[in-house]
Amino acid sequence: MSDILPSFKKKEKVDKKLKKEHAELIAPPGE
Amino acid sequence: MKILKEMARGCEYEFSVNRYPPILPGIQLSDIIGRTILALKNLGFISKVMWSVEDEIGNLTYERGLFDSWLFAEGPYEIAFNGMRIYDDAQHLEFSTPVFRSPIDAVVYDKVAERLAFLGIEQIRKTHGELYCYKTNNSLLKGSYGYEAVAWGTHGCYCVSRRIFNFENWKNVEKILIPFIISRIPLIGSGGVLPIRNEFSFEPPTSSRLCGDKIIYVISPRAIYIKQLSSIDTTVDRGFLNLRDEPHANPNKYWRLHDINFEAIRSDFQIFIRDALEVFTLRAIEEGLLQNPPIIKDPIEAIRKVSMNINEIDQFIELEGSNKARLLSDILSYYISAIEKLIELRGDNEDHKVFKVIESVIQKLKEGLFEYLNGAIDWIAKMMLIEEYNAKDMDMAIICNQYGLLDENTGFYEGRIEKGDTLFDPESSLAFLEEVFPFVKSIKEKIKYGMNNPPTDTREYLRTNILKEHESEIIKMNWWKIYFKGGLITLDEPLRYGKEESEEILKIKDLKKLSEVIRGEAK
Repeated sequence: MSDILPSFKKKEKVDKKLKKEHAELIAPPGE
Repeated sequence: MKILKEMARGCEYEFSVNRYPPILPGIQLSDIIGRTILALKNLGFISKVMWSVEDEIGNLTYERGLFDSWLFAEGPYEIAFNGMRIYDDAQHLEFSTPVFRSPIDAVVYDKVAERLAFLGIEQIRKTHGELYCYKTNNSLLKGSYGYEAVAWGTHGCYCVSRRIFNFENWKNVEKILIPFIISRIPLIGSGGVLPIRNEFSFEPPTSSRLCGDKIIYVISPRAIYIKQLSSIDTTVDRGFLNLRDEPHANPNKYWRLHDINFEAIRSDFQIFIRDALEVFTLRAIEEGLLQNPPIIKDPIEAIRKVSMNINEIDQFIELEGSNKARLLSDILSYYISAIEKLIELRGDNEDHKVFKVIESVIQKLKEGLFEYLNGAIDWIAKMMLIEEYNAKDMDMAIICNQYGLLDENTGFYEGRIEKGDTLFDPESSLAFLEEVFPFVKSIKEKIKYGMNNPPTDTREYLRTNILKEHESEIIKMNWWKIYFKGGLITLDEPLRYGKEESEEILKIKDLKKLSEVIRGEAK
């Protein structure tokens, strides 16, 4: 069964900085 | 694909938009979102035709409220030339896809929505400063009294048979679908962080605001907001199932299953299998293959447990009658067995291939082989990023938000190479989808085409071509009705009126004559 699904190939290392601008996400409840 | 092309469906995405530093919800957010939509209209993606609010019979008061709260002299313009509805849904930037009939188009119009959202935001940044748009389903705010969060939606819409899906049979629908909604969580979860005390707590209890003194990572943030089995409400007392009776098609034949518990996922592969799993399951129900599902003792407690436990995915769940069953090996397997029978009866090679891949994902999840699925399943991707960055507290929230950030990277699917700050990697995501399903061909070309065009194999082809050719003659329209000066065109079969069938119809340049031909009154 494992042949059907290959292993996901991801870049070895994440090189992006975490930015404080994205810390607090504010929006009203919705749907 | 055979079975997978038998059902009309679409998806609704609410994206959150805010400035940095963030502003609280209110008129300023409405202003930004309205301007974003007007920018998309000015870029040529949206028509001038008005949405037919009066036809929103399943949610009329709410929809009238949205219309009345539009802030600008012109608009609201909502109808895109690719068949999407793009609008301000209570201060969320909402994209409802055109009707499609394949999991490939589920991916295509998902990525089109992401791209359009960014293109609109990019325009407004020129005048309104540092703006960001996120594909997520919950907020998170850290204040002096702790953390708080609210949710919004990603909804699947599946056009199913009213013979099965109707109010009289609803208890049976609940019995069949609720164990499915719980057991599919590890496959469709988006991953995210939520506030918690000793347990999840809405404060005040009648609200939909989660509060807590710490935050935890969960497989499905959206699942924690479910409060009851079925509801007409989608914002406070959310149900596993939504009771909105609004088929956007022949009401005698169809019910639109408004699956309000989809999640904001970015992985191309996960979007594909979420759509395929839903169609397979709903078709199995329609074929009578799911008669006696396992009944979960306390569904709300169970879905919270499933969403929180990242250490043992195939955990035991209490069933009615003091029995227990494993989440994947027993409960989800019940649905998988029925799907297998369905495919044996009526499927083709591609249906079978998709099914085997879904089975394989389940097997990996059972065995906890997350490294195979990193990047393929969003909740695993975010969890592994949190580990990689060794993130704690609000840094976990940054990772989840930055993963959902819709930025310059959305241009990858249009062949652009601009890099943004998002932690989602579209290149490896698409490469994985194409490796698993080689029949998914030229998806980037399909996305480029989809920016301005609908699928060619549903009624959207005729609807949007009429829009493009007769924009000035149309008074208003919605998913299935086009009101023009002197008449009405009704498209009540969502899987009809694709390119092949419509070519002759579109040669008729008079809308009245065209409407008569569609009604079968003239040739």
